[in-house]
Parts: sequence; C-alpha cells; structure tokens
Amino acid sequence: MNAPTPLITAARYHVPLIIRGQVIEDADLQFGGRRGGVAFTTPDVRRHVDALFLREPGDLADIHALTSEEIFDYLDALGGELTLDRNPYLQEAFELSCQTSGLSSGIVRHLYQTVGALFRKSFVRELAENAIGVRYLDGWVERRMASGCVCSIRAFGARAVHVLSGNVPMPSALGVIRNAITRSDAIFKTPSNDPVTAAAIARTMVAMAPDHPVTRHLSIAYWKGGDEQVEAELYRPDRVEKIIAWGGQASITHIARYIQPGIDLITMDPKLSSSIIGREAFADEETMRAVAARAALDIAYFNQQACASSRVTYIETGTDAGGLAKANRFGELLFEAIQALPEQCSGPGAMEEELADEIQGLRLMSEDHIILGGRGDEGAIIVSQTDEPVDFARILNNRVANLVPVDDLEVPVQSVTAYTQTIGLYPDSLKTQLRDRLVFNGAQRLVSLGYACKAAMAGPHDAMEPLRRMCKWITDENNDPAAVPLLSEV
Amino acid sequence: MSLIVNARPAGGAPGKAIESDAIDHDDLAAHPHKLIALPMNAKFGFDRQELEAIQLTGLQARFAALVDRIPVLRKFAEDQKLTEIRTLEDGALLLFPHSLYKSYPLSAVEKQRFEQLTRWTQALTAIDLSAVDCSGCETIDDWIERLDAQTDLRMRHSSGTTGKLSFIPMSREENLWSVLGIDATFSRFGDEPGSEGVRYGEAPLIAFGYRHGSQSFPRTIEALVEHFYGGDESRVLCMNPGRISADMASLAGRLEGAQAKGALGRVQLSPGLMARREQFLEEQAQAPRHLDAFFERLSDEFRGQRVILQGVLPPTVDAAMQGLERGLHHLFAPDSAFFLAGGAKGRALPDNYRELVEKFTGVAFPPSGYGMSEATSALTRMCPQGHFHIVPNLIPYLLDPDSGAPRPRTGTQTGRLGIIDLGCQTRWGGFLTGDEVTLNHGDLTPCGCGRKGSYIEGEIRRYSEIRGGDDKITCAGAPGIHDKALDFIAGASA
Repeated sequence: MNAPTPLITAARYHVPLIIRGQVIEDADLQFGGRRGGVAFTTPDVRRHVDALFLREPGDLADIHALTSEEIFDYLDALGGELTLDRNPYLQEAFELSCQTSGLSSGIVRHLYQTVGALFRKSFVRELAENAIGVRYLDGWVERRMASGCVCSIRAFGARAVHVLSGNVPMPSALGVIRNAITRSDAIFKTPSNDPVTAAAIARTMVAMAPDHPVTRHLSIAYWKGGDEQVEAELYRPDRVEKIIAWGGQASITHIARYIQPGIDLITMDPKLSSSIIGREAFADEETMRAVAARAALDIAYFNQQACASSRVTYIETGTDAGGLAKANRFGELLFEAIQALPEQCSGPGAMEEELADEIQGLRLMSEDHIILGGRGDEGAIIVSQTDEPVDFARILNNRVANLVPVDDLEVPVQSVTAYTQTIGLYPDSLKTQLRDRLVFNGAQRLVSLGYACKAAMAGPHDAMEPLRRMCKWITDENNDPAAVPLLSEV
Repeated sequence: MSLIVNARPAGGAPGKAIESDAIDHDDLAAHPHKLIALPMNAKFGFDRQELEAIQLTGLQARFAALVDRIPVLRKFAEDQKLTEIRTLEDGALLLFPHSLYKSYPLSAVEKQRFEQLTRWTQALTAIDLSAVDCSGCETIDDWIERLDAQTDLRMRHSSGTTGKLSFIPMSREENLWSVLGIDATFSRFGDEPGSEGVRYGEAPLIAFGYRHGSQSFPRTIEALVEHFYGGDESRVLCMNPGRISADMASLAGRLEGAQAKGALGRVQLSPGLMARREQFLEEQAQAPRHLDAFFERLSDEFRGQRVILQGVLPPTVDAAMQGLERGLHHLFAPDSAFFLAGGAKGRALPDNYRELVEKFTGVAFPPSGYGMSEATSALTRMCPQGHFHIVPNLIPYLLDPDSGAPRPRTGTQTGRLGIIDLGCQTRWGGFLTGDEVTLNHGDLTPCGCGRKGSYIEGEIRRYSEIRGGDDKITCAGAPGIHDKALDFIAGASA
C-alpha cells in the first residue's frame, strides 16, 4: 500500500525502426507512453542516423521512373492489405490506440477499419489531379511564354521529414499517400502517443512489396522530439529539403532552430473550429431538433479531438429572455443529440482535469452559464447567458461545447481569428452571406453544418495546399536566340 | 500553487521545549487560526490524537460558521451531499479546485464591470461586500484599492504568468496572522542550530521586492509594517518603493483573451489597459533611480547591521548580482535572519546563485521550504532529515490523481495533495494543489528530527509536468501567447 502509483508499466510494445524497407528490431531504448501507462521499446535512432537520410539525392530516380498510375496501383493494393481483421500490424496499432488516444474503442475501431479506404485508387487519383495535376507529376509540361521561351515544368519529389501527430491513423496514412504521389523520400518522426500506426503501414508495405520504390522511400523512426543528436544531424539542407510538421508549437519548438535557407517548413497548424447557426434554425421545435442533430456531429464526432471539431457554437437566438429560453432549449436538444450518436462516431470520454476544474468553477461561481451534463464522462453543453464564450473555450474537448446566443451575427464574424479553421454554418445561405468576411478574419474552411468532420479530402486541406508545397517545382526553359533575343541584344 | 520557501531562523526563544499541557487545547480548537502563531516546538510537539482532536473540532466549527456565509461553500457541500462534518476524512470532500479563484469572466475586467467582479468575490468570502461602491473604477488596481478602503477584504492576486489572474480574497486579519506564521518559522525547534535573537520588529526589514501592490509579497510587507513595525516605514526598506500593478500582471492573460476573441477582442483591449501601460513605462523608467537609492541606503544605513532579509528567489538573485556589480558584498551581520520564498518560476538563474546571494548579503543561504499561496500560513522549512513537516493549522489529504478518491490517512501515501487550512476565517480554507507528494503521516514512522506529525518525503512534483506533453502532438489547438505578452512588457521596458 505504500508504493507510489506507477505512471509507467512494463514495456509491452516494441516499435521497430524502419529505414527504406529494412526493419531494425533492436530494443535499445524504452520510452513511457501516456494515459493508460503504455510504454514501448525501440532502437536508438542516434545509432542509425547516418543511414536515415537519403545520402545520394540521385537515388530518387527510381521512384520518378514510375508513372502515377503505377503508384496509384501500388497504393490501391496497399489499401487492400490494410484490413483490420487480417493485418496483425494494424491490429497492434489499433489496440495501442485504444489505450492511448483517449477515444472510445468504438471510434478507434471505426478509424482503423476505414483507413484502408483512403488508399483507394479513385480517391488517390482525384487527390493527385486536384492538388497537382497528374501530367506535372508524370513528366515535363511545356508552356509557351509570351517572351517566346518554352518553359517546361515538372513537379519533383524532395527529401522530407514528416513530424506526425498522434491519436489517429489519418496523418500516417495521408503521409504515405502524399509521399508516394509526390515521389518523395520521407522520414516519418512518430509521436510518443502513437509510435505504432505509421510503422504498421510501413511493415505492411515491406511485406507486400519489399523492393518497390514506394516502399524503399519511406522510413519510420521514433526519437524524443528535441533530441539534438538526431535532429542536428538530420535537419541540414544537404540532407533534408522539406519538413512537414503536424501540430503547432509543440512540434515547431524543436524544429525552429534548424530552419534555414534550403529547408522548407510546411506546418500543418493546430486550429480551432466553431459553428454559426442563423435564426432560421429556431423557427420551431422540429427544426431545432434537426439542426441540433447536425450540430452534434460537428461537435462530438471523433469525440471532439480533431481540429475541425466545433468548440463554440454561436446561435442567433437573441439574448433577451425569449432568446435565452430558445438557447437553453437548443442546449438540451443538442445534449440529447450528442448522447444519441452511434458508437462509431462518438462515445463517453473522460474529461481532462483542467477542463473539469473550469466547469466546476463555472458551476459553483457563475450566474452567466447553464451547464448541462458534465458530471461524469458524458460530455457537457455550456449555455452562455450572455453573448460571450467561456474564457476557456480553447480547451473545450471530449464532447464539451459552448453555446453562445447572439443578437447579431457580427459577434461570430468578429470572433474569427488567425487560429480558426473550420466554421460550420446553418442555413447554407449564411455561408454565401458571411464567407468572405469570415475568411478575411482567418477562417480556412466553411462547411454546411454537420459536415465539419466529413472533409472534402481531395481539396486543398484547410488552406494549406500541402501536396503542391511538398513538390519542388522545376522549370526547364528552352530559348532559341532566333525567337528570344539574348539579353545583350535588347 | 505551491511555492518553495527558504527560511533561516535567527534564534528567538532558544530551544525551550513547550509541553503540550501548557497549551490551551480548547482555545485552539475554538480559534484554530491561533495554531499559526505557535512556536515551532509547539507546532510540531502535538501527539497525533491531540492534534486531530483540535483539528476536528476546528474543522467542524469553521464549516458550521462559514457554510451559510460563503455561497460557494454551501453549493460545494450540497454537491457532495455534506451537511455536517463528522470526521476529518469528510474534509477531503471540501477541497476547492484552484480554478475557482479564476472563474470570473475575463470580460468583466475588459469591460470594467467591477460590480460583477465584486459579486463574484462575494461568493467566495464571508466578508460583506454589499456596500462596496465601484463607480469610477477603471482598472483592477482601482477596484482592489476600493475594496481595501471600504471593507476588511485584502485581495491577493497571482503573478499572472500562467494567463488569467487568480484572486484570493483574504481578510485584513488573515493577512496579519499570515505574517505571524512567517515570524514563527524563525523560532527554533529543539536544539537545532540557528543564531539567536532576531524576530520581525526587532531588526530592520530589508525586502527584495515591491512595497505596494496586492501580490503575496507586498501584502506580506504591508502586514509586517503594520503589525511588527508599528507603521514605521523608516525601518523597512524595499528594493522598489512603488507598486506592482495587477493590471500589468494581468496583461498576458488579457492579451491572450483578446486574441482568442478576434477583432472583438482588439476593440475591447484599447482604453484602460493602454493608459496603464503608459504608467508602467514611466515606472520602469524610474526603476534604475529606485535601485540606486536602494543600494545607497543599504550601504549607508544598514551595512554591518543585523537585519531581516525577505525576498522571492529570482528578484533576490537579481539584487545580489546588481549589488555585487556595484561592489557591495557581505553587507549585513552574519546572524541576520533570512526568509526567501519562491522557486525559479521558470527563470534561468546562474548556477552559483546561492553563493552570489551569500556573498552579497553576508548571510548564509536559508534552507528550502514549502508553502502554498492559497493558504493563510502553510510555510514550513526543511528539517535536518530533509523533510517538509506540515504545520498544524493545515489538514493534509492525499487524493488519487485520476479518481479523486482520498487515500487512507495513515502510513506513507503518494497522491495529489489537498489541504484544509484552519487559519482561514473568512473564506473556505480547503483547496487542491497541483502537486504530487509522498506524505508520511508520521504515525508509523515518525521523522528522526523529533518533529511529530505528518511530513512530505522526497520530491514534490507538479502533475502538469508529470503528465505534460513532451512529444504529444494533436491537430486541435491554438498557441497561448503568454510569452508574447511578457515580451510586450519587456519590450515596453527596454
């Protein structure tokens, strides 16, 4: 009874280091995970750092020799192998994610069951075509300039490091797809809360096609973010040209010191999202119920863990007594709708302590908030009784949302910031009415209410265009002095 | 909100054992704040049973007296379905989360709705604030001054480095008891070494900090001047005679709040705060002059004297470095008393800061201590065995960090530390710290130093650090801007 509570239990997981098809299984180091106390062993990347980066840039030739269709075929086949029921690597990743993600197992199962579908040929082709244009990937595209110059343009791959974020398989899967489409050579730095998923995909690739160029241009490594012995060796312009960093300050802090001319940093910033619901939604009880069901998805899908998850919902009910009554009724309907979501969408989740304390503070001290739920793991709706969001809106999480009644939609428009990502709106006409102004203030993605987490995946990814930026856009400029006079002759 | 404290006793009544029968147990149980002022020998001389008897009666009396006068305590108790205290264990149900002290809406400050802040405060204190007139208040400083002038409330606020300011409503009387508690740490326990004779009031006070303001430090100076120096400011020298402004301390949180609100926030930010900023700039411009005057007086009036030194670690180290630069060293008599609070608070200090402080002052660096700013008086310094003993006005609880279930109050346990401070007379003394501690209740294996009662063994760790993200990355979030706000202050002062 005197033993301190162990924060770390014995290592159960082993994570290999994978370097371009070669799987290194040493267990040199042990790292502690989070939540459930999961820990894992992994090779010491410091011992392998010389092999980790692509020493010969010319070695990218093999993957550039492939056509896009060949790459799509490969990815399509890979997607078929990523079937949870029969892929032991993915099963292990799923099991670990259940323990570390803070999400209910219903959601996690759904995510891992559907990850293979992302690799489907039709989707990948659409993604490549929309983001880059397949002909720019497959060869040089000639363009005649007004000067007479014939400028051939091709999108080349680059040597890249992807600093991944945890919780879900999506960043790993998208990383593999994007790396293949752009014909790049990628080193994935995995996060401590999910060191397994990216490795699971890579091991499936090794098992499926060990010598294929797409397999041979992917490496998976875990090192502790900030480890100078790894990062100072790796992040050098002659070794790495692009860094794709998920997560904000936490991942950038370590990387920032290495950024210099010759290294492109592509940040997949963490963002916060919100919803705006116009007065039409509150016309009658039936409409309110239907709109609440859509708002519930934007808030609680995936237990509000995503950047697209809505945290604050502005409702144009008005703030007079009648307006507040509508707002409070809408809060009840929203709370019910969240509780009624199917388990593959959303489920009970333990509230983080900081948030639980804030809610308790409001419950005990505030005259300006009504709190529905929030005593256990069911989530909560905080209905502001003024037109202001709670001060802790930034940390709303795990199915805790804030409803803010407003008299005027100027309030939500003026509340958009540089850290806003998605805004779900109802009715759709409100989008047309507000969208330019929402964008000027910082919004990146506008969506019909209810679809915040069902993104147009083959689109520009929250204003970031990562695929285009992952390529090196090279020109071959052909000039005939007969047509294009030399500079000395002008 | 724990803080590290360093206190070196300068004697006092030498090692005179106080027999427990010389103590009026009934009086202490009826007025448990009096535990604060007991000398060390008495504080750590209670047998477990006699202390628990005092604490239980004290706790019952406090709860009965306050439950109907402090609205938030009543709600909290109702939530826990608690109508009376039967055992000390019941106290574990009455530990407030720290968030309570910053649960006011930031917009009340931004929009200068100080009546709203007063109403919020009223829910936390038994002091009647109904007659407070906030008209014309433009800043937090104005508001706190108003409370000082019109009531017995002596608001304390946090340093603001973590964003929003916390407001802890203490009373004038609690403020005084608080310094009696600090004074008591200067008394000796048993035959433990320490020089003889200096207590507050008996020697001049040198304070490495601001004289005025509402953070713990200037509030402590205020009470010391009033209680021990009879209001005689000539015997008290502060490094900065000015005021540390709550509005400036709140700047980080306000900028963050403004940023989170987008254009709406930018509109709200401008008026009062910018005026304060001008004032702050002006004060900053005066700072070097104040510093010159401070060192001049130290050198001219106090050199070689036996004094009491009081400081928070980082500014004290700063003062030592600046003093040494001016060629000042070994300024005071070596048997001076030294009270030093606060850890590095995220500041990088030179490795040899202890030597720097010793060289400048000529006084030995005091031993470490532990306290919490939520308590009236929680200060305890490390015993020769390396342990922090819990002072008797505090009832310690350990909770499971996840479930919140209390651990048994016996033997040695590790968990999240909760405290009920019986020294609180006008607000509820129960609160939950963010610290993981290993607490020995002292019943099975008492500490070898001779102090009775419970004590903290080993390292004290913040849960936020234990569970903090070393490498955890998610896609949801927005950066805080504390650092930028602090840069703003620094930039403004450069």
